[in-house]
Amino acid sequence: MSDTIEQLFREFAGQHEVGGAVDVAGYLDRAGDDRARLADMLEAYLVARPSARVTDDELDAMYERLDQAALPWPDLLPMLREQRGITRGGLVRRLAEALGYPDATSQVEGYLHELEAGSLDPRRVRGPVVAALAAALSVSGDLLERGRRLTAIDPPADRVGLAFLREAPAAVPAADVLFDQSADAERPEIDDLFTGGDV
Amino acid sequence: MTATHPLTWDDLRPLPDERLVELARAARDAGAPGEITARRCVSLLLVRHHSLVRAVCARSSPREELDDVCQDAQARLWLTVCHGTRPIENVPALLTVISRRAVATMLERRRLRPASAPLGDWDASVDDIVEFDDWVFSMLARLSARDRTIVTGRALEGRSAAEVGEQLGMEPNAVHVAYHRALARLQKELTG
Repeated sequence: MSDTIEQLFREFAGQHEVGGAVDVAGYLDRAGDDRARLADMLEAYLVARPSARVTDDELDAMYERLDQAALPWPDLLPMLREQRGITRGGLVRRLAEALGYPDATSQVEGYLHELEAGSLDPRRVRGPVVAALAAALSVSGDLLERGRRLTAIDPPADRVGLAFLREAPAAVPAADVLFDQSADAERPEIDDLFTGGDV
Repeated sequence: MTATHPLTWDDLRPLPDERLVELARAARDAGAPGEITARRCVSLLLVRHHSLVRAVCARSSPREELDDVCQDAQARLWLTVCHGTRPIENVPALLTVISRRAVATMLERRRLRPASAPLGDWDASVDDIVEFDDWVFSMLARLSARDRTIVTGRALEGRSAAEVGEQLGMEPNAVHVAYHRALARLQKELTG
């Protein structure tokens, strides 16, 4: 049987006032079916009552942790774009120019979309693209390098299968209309820049 | 803060949240000492509001994911303070939003994670599977012989790029590129 949330809240607040780490998740677990209600109460309380006592050890540990702070590219790239006030189209143009292919925005946009959607493993992207992205977003290359090492692509295989079933054409078109000629006009150098790196 | 001396914990500890954000943003472009001050400011904010982040993240996160979600939220605050330009007037409110976003991202990743045995979870009849296989092969038939070998070898047979490359006399990186292009072409046809 779970403790009443009033008891749990009072106990938590008492411990929080003393200082030091409090096992917040443990309190929520003890609330049982009232987990969401206790979470509401704790959030409201903690917004108004940050920890008054913080030790140098806690600060040093957090400082070291931030040195390795990173987000995977599907989270990081849109976040940085938003913070910089850069649209995806704007980033595509900057990227295409920096890579030396200012006319290849469509191809670059396709790859950028895949990177932001998480369907292209960023570890495949070559160094010049990372450097161009860092310059366009005004961040360090290290930040992007850390982020792309975090990204493990887990393709949603089950969903791909369902999508194939849903979108399968009724009949296979004749071979001479199958290949999109514009695809052949795409630059293999750009394909290599975005997919030719070693994992 | 001077150009050579970052602010210490004792300098920073009495300051309110908003002042720490201002200092961090002012320091971020000031070279190495400024970077240390910026990171100290954000560290202090995160330790000060550590329990709030844990509370927001713990509400909907499984235990085994909680530490990762909290770290994700911490990284988001670091990036928001040090790379963002929008004013931050209420750090606890911002941390609440950031932490909820970190939880949502984790839940979305879990939802997309492939099952360990996808076919076991796929409620399809034998006819469905045969029809699906026929359709997959009709799609592969649209590729050149070389690309078909690459896609079949990599995606269906699970062979490495080096193994497929050896068969075709190609470098592994060239196989990666060709594989990706072939998939992109198939996707383009699918999506019209």
